[in-house]
Amino acid sequence: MARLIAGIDVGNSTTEAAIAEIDGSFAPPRFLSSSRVPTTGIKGTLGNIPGIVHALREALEPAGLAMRDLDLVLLNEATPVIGDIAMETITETIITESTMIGHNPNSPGGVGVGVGKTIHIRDLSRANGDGPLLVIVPSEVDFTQAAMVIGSAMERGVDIRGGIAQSDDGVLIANRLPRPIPVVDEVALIDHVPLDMLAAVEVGEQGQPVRQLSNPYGIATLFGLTPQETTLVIPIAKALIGLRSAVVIRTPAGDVQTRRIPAGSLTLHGKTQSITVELDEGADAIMETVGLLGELQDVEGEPGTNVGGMIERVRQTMSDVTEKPAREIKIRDILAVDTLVPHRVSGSLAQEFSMENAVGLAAMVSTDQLLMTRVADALSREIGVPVELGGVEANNAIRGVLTTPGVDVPLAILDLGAGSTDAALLLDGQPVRSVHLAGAGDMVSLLIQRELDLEEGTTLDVSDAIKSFPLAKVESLFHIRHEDGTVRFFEEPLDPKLFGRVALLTPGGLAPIPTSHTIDRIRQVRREAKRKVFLRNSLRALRQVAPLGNIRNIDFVAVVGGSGLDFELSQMLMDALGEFGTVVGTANVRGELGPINAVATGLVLNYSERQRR
Amino acid sequence: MSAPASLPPDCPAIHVAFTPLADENLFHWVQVGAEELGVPCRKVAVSVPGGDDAVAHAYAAAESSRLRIGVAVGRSEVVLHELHMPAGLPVLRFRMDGQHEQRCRLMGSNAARMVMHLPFRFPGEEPDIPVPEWLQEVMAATNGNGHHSPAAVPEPAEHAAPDDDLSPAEIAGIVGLVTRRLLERGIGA
Repeated sequence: MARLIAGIDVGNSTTEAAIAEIDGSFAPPRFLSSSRVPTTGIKGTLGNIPGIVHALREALEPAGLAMRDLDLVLLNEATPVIGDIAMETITETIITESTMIGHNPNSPGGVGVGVGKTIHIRDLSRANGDGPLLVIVPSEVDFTQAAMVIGSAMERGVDIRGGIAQSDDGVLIANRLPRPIPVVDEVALIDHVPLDMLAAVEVGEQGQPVRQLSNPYGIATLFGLTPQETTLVIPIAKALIGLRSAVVIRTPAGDVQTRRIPAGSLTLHGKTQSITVELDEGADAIMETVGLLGELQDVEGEPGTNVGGMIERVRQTMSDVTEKPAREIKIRDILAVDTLVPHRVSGSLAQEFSMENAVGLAAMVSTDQLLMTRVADALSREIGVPVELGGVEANNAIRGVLTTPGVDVPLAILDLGAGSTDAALLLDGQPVRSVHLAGAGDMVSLLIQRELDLEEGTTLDVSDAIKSFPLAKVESLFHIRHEDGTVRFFEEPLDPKLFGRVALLTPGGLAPIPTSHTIDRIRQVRREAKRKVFLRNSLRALRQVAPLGNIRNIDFVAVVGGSGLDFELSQMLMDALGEFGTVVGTANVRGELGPINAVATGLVLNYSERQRR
Repeated sequence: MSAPASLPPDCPAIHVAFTPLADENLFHWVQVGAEELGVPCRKVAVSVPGGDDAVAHAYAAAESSRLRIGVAVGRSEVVLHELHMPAGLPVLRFRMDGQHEQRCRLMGSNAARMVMHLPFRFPGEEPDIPVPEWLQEVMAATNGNGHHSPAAVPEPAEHAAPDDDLSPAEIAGIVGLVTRRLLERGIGA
């Protein structure tokens, strides 16, 4: 008597199904179809059911079957962990009075450095030879008028050394003057530039950043600063590094400071001891301590500090999801990542940002095993088919991966999901060992979003896309250059909106990225984020399951799950694991499905083996 | 005041053509748009059968340009063309919508952007970055004095943090924008 059974794997981001026919004999199950749809709700909650039903329908339909034909549905006992991520900057640059402008307009005018007192263009006609001046040109004065007024003042002998313009008119003004002066343009908040103050403007040579104003001693030279005052301008110089044009204004009370926000400390509780690490010591120190302590029992952040807040937020989210009181939520793993994020300078005039130190934390807590039972009961009522839990997820995943041609026991699998990094190891004649670590795809997206300063309103969408698709630069309306430097031509002209932009090669075509970062910068941030999270966690996870804690003792590693579809991750892993003599590759479940559907397939296989015994 | 020096005859440049009914004075604005990015422009006469077709004029201008980029100003539209494009399919085509000078300047800028491989700008996209709310607050708190006063006289903070819906920066931005539009249309000058 043939029975029709379905294996269902509810993951953080996708729900997968495998449908197979089992006849009572010793023949292996005959797989009929599979599907993969987005997960609904948070993994392990009743919100998953619509996604599960969707996945079943998607799989049944091509096989010409209906829900009532199913004899049994097997549900994975979802990895009993959930993770959360957070990021905080630990330094901040604040300008208490407007003392600096620095930005990268496309086309500032003129070149060089000019120092003088700021004067509104309106007052220029009344100015006479009382020292060098810098002219402020708001956008209501057009470039012809501006050039005329400045030009005639210059000819009268007024010593004009530079200009600050609100519109994108810098070149136009500079080109129309009898003598070239540097003009910084596109200064949005020009009304806030203080007048009658000593200021310096600098426009870099074409293709080069400012030099004088990004050098503390350069600023000191221009303004005649004392050594004490020079130490105060360091944050200004730092914020102006790499910019094409800059203005520094000396106001009597002006002050720029880098404030170091008390980042706080983390107390990590191991089985036998607790260690406190200062966040300032960096991610490496934290991760070393995590490694030292072995199995973490809980983590606490110093109250009243940023990290304290972060840890509490994680605990609260977990408490909401699991419906357990916050004090019962124990953090079982953390991943700390150091990063530099652009942060808007408080009080700046042209929306300058400075690179601030930040730390990203992923945390993971264990959840109730009971959660999935609730889902199974509700699902059974919903579809009118018996639903069983099919055993530990790692066992099923390993069983599914063993259908990959060319793998054998001892075998380790790596599942780099959205919320957690999981590894499992199967040795001959031993139970499967598995670990779940904090930090995976969502953390990578967060790093990309923050480092590239992408719109927060779009949440992780753009950064998710950057994580998932290769880049190309649209160089003309007929060709793009891929990130590896190769060029691809098109017969039909591309959309002019793409011209000159960095775009993602998505299955739906080229999608422009709403940012002005170069392709190299985006690529570097993307790969670095993957290295910091995926590679670090893969090594951490494999070490924890490896015999004697040595990755060399693992012969085969197969990458499964959605991350196995990542276009560069398996190569990055191969590079990293090559030195251990370990074979790493992307799984190919049932020889045809690639890295996905391993758990769903494993559920069916393990079930049929149990039936035969 | 001096406009940029005239071009040597064989210097590569964006070529700008005019349909018979177009206002040739608009060349100045196309040129201004390209000048801001440092790319030269040259006015050319092209002969196109069939009169007032701006796309055909732009393509003919592109054919004669060593940069292979042509702009044509028509009566009601301004067109950017590139030699590699199909003749009937221009790169960009903006309607004047009564804003001739602005659109011509924008198209001149786009022609230069095409040379420099920079993304285009489109009508309605204000190049000025909008002022974020938090910044306005910071500014109102730290530097609320008005901007239309002689520099030497220290000003009482009479405009500081008004309770209006618009902040001083926003109002100044709007006033600037309106004034500039008026000036560009030759109304306020």
